[in-house]
Amino acid sequence: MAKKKQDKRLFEDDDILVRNNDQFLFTEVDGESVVMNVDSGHYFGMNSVSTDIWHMLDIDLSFNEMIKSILKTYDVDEDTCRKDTRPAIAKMILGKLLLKKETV
Amino acid sequence: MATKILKFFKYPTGFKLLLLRVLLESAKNELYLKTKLYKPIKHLHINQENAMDDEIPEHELPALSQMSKAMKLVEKFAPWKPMCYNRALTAKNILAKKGIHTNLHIGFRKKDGEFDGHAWITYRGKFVTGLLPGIKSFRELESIT
Repeated sequence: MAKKKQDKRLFEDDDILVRNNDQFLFTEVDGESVVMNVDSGHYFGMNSVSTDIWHMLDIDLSFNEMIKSILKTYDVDEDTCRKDTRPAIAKMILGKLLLKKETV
Repeated sequence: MATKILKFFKYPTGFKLLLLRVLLESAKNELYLKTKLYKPIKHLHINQENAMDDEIPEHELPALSQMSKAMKLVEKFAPWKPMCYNRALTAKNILAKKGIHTNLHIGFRKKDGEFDGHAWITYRGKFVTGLLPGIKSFRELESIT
């Protein structure tokens, strides 16, 4: 519950989210994704949910717009989709992979 | 150890100065990479267009081969054991100041189920730092533009 509250504070549903392309470089190897932080040289693999989010943000989108797009693509109900996507985005914001538009 | 110190003193002065410069630049980059306090390295990701098969002008060859050699020595003897990314950034920066604009490459491959990352620099299609066996198996990241 406490975690959910923390995630909620990180971004609002209508905040526009953008990829932090200045700091992170992305590629796919054998069907898996890897991102590298150019400021530290560190790199790590991304799971499929984070990879989908990363690809979706080829254009700037809000959380609500992203959910709409996922619902069109996948056979999933809206509540489950929001519940699964929110923590993944929160984690990406904490890791600075994603930024809120007003902070860009 | 004594032999190595003696060997160092036998290097020409120009090469000794280059080694010192490489050491300082690599130490600075190591600090930046560890602390993430500054962001002075972003510009080093911007690659210049240069034709792959262009011959390297003869007057630039000594600087490139000396850099390659200096980097191998620093990799071996610097206490912070600079990784490939540090070495590539260090060489690219120093060579750029000499008017030689190299390209930075970063690639990944899967090795034993884990991501294996590597960084290297090339000049006119030739390797300056970071040449490894099987380097073509690395999938390159797109550079920052």
